[in-house]
Amino acid sequence: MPDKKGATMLEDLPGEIMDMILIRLPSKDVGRCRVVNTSWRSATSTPKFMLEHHRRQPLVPIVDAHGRAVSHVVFGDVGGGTSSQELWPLVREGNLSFTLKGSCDGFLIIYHHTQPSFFICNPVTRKYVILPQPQGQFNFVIGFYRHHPTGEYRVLWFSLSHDSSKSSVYVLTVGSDKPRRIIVKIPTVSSPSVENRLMNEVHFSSGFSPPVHHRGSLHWWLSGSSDITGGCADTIVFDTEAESFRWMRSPGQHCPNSMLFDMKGTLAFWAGSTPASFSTMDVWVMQDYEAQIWAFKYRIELSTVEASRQLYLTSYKKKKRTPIDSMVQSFNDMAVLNERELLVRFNGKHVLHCDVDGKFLGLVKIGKNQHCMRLAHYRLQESILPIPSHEMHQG
Amino acid sequence: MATREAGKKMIMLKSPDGMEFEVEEAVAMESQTIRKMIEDDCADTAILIPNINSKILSRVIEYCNKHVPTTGATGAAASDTVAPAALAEDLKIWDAEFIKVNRATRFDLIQAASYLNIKGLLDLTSQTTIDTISDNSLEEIRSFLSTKNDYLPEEEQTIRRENQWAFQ
Repeated sequence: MPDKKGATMLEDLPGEIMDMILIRLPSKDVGRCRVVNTSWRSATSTPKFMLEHHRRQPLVPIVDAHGRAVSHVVFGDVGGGTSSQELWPLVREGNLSFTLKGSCDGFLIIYHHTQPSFFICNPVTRKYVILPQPQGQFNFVIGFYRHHPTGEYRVLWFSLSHDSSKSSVYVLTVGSDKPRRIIVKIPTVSSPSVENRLMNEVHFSSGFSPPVHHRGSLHWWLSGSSDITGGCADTIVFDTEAESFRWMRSPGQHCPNSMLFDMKGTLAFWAGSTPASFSTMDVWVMQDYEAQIWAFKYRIELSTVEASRQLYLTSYKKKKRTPIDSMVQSFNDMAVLNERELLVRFNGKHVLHCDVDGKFLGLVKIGKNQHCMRLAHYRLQESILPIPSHEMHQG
Repeated sequence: MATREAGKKMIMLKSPDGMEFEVEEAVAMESQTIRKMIEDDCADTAILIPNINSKILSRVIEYCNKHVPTTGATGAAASDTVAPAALAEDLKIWDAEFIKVNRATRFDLIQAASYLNIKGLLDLTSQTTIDTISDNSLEEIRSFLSTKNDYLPEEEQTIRRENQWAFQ
């Protein structure tokens, strides 16, 4: 509680101290502080402040709640537990007419089914801008990234036309009017129709989990690409600076239940090691990127998590009602919460929170209930930065 | 205060009002500013800490002593039998007690934490002001933090509209 009688005024403090307090505020409170007085407003409105504020926010996973109670939520770490927060704007209209198509820093790309258009939005400031699309009949967002040399946000499109020679990959700089077609040469790809098939695979892969941006390149793990690559490589890489594609190898565990992800700036890969039962989850990290050497990091056993869950229930028995079907029978998917903690989707519907040793930390709930949900594999790092654009809409 | 133990390198910190504090190097290095001085070999036997009086400096050292990562047999809080979660909980309670100071001291601690670059202490000391801003209306913030509204009424309306997202 504030000290109403305190004699020291905040104005007595050097401006740098006030800046240090403002930079630590949650996004919404920064917005409110702008209305308090002119000096707080100017201090919080510089690009430098907004970038630094963004840099301090945690990178949190987005969970698709299938419209039960809400559409999408973001999960954060609050006082050792996991808490969820509704993600704007995907639920405002009370229907499921939005699909998440990309995320980068504090921005999301959403597809509006009824309009139908692609938008880039900042869910914190509730601003959105329509994205110009390529000319093709069907356009798919296959990547959304920050181009490091220029700091620009860019969208990678695959534009499909009935005439396969007209299908192509396009790059759109957010804030510009027109996507730019790029001529791609993919090793092992000899004809436009093979290129189309491959880009379809990339699109399909992006739908399950977005490409991982690492060292200025986007990485997609493709499960069904062996006939295109000749069997040795399974990960396609797009260099965002040279704008060229190349192949690399995953740790080589061919289980359909696998995914590339980013673990604190390192390229990582997880796979259910026994495809039939999904009873273990193995995690590898890239040890030497140039030489493509992967190192095994840890394994999570289903039995460990289930044993830990029962122990957890015993200690909380009086407080909590046990959902009948929450016995952990199979692993389906995972998302990284922080260095030590994960969200794991299990039994094909629910999500639990555990650490990398398999210790059960709780069931993920939205509001008060444990709904069916899906890990969206997109992550958000809150920002109050404006969308680079001339035209802006407010929600 | 830390006592001299075999194998522990000690460092002397001096406040501008002439007090001297002997602390373990590891404790002093909780401050990134001091760490840099030591690593750059700019620190001899004693380091003068300008602008921070002995009263505040002793409290800062108290904080660093408590928060220095324990490596086994040092410090009262260290114990291999205590679970990390319990240790963290203990530290939280200690922090809550530590920050029960008047506003002037708290602001002095913020300045000291900023100069000495001690992230944990800076987070802890600025949290009270952050809570004041988070928990109160604009009028209350202005009143509690003694800051004036220097907007014209129509100006304030415009700024509020621009930042409507923060009020939803």
